[in-house]
Amino acid sequence: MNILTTENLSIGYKKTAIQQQLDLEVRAGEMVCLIGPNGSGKSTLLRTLCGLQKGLKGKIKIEGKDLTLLNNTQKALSLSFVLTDKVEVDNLSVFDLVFTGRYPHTTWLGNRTENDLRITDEAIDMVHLRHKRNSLINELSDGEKQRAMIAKALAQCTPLIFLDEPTAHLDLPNRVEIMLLLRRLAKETRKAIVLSTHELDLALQAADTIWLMNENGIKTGLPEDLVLEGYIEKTFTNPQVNFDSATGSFNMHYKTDKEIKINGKSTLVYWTKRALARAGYSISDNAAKEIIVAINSWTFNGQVFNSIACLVEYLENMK
Amino acid sequence: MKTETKTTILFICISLLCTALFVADLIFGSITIPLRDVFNSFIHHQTDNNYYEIIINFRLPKALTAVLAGLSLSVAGLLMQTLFQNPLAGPDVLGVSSGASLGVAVFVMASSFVPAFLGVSGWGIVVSAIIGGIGVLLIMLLASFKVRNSVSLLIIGIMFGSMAGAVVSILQNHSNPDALKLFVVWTLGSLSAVSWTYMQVMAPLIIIGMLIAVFAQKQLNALLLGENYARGLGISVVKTRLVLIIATGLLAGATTAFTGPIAFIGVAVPHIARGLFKSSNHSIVIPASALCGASLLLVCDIVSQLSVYTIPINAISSLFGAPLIIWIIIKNSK
Repeated sequence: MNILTTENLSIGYKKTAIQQQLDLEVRAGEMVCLIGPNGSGKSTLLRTLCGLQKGLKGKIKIEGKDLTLLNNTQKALSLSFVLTDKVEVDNLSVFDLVFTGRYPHTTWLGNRTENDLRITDEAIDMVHLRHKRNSLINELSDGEKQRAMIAKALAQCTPLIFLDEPTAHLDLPNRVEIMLLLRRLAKETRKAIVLSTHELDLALQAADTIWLMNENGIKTGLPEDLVLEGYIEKTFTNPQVNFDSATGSFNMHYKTDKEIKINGKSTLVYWTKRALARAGYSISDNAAKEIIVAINSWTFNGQVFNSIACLVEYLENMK
Repeated sequence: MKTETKTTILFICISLLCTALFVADLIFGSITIPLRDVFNSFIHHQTDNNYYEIIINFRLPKALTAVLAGLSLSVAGLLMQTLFQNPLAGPDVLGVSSGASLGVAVFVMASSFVPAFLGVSGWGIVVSAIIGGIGVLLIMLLASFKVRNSVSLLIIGIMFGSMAGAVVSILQNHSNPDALKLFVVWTLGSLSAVSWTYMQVMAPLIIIGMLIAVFAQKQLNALLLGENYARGLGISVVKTRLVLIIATGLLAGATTAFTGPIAFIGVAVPHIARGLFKSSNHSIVIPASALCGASLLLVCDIVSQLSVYTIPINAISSLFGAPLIIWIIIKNSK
């Protein structure tokens, strides 16, 4: 069943549309990653889908109900979100933060029923923060804080969760952990999860569906299909960088004005090439001079170097 | 459960402290009245007792005023800090007190031009103080949309205070001596200025303000996370803002109207309460601020009575509160 459907949606500010005619859908248990260059409108789309700003045209339906016709509480029961807004509160415990997710379900005084307390603790368990339950949020690491915010969204018990760049400002292990966590939650709780990210490689590995956004609109599909059809390459390739669809990674372009030949074991050659590219060398079999690479020895011009650093230094002094 | 037990114990301790301070405030003064005589004054309505008049008609309303003013200024400060998302917000810092002064000044001095106003009653002063307070509060709220930096907002508040002060000076220059005296007495006003008659006006207003604050605790907690998250939790931010402004205006306005401006209690006490209870949850911090504020103002009152020369309550609260604000700014600038 579709949790979220948009029909002919236009988004933007005032009269200027950033994206038009968007027909999107998200199913229960699906994890969608929204990717695209800066300024393509990722945050605007998420804010519009969250109901934080109005769409210019078209409809957003959550479980078949028009988002604009829902009142504040109904909205809060349909969707929850984690934004890039910083939550900086002294003396706020993880439990109290996550408990705020229960507000749409509580009476106007925010009374704590057994059920609310249980769901709050379950949400804390799901993001593996039980040991930090009574810690203050300002004492958490960035990764833990992000997990606490996700727990708050979980405690809200909505069928749909939006996350705007949940992995920003995190180190690689934490980025991977958050992506795996969200994927696991989507599968275990059958929630629909939509997140925007700049982590292309992570998104391509973790998402069920990619929403690829550029100035021409949104292309949706399985990550692998979008790669093979060349959409990822087309969107992100520019004079400085290109997407290598063979490896799924990005390569930087350096200005190279000298040619050199290289020979040796493939891993060694790969990393040597990268250092040479930075120093301004491109690899060509027709070049006059050759580097022979072996473990811990780089032979060039009759000299042996024991590291790439020594080799590059020699090449630069040659000029 | 551990934190909940700790919170309960803290609440009991502070309530006991507050009660003890209240009794102490009745005992100590220009003359020290023994505890037994204090109790006797309550039990036997014997007007011939020397102490009866002092306790019932002077010290009791003064102690009650200290409690009410302390709790209402502290809770008003707490509401403003959450509303403005600014740790330095408070009734006096953001110009609410000067707005209230301006309201009172306009009301009192206008009565010297318009004879119909001559019957200056407690109600008139209260209403004008509340209107003046809420007016400045609304302007500051508009300014807070443009200026996010807390210290900048503080400076704008101080500027508004100066402007209100200037207008008050102009009014003073052009008013008759009777109205001028009435206003100056108000600005010097102290906790003892509130008689039983005035108490009948002040107490209900503060109780209404407190009730609004208590009923808005869920919205306040949601606002701690920022406006977007509050909206995501189903809170109407616009409506909440309006409700909080009314509550703050009632609490700070009514108190200032009767006691005159009392500085720094509103800014400082919420920080003490949050630090003491290690919580930002308003269901804990509202009663905690109320109790701490009441206790603190009782201490200030006892100190002001015990000294050889009576020190104005405003001076004592400033001596205590100003260093605390400097400390908050230094802590936040790290």
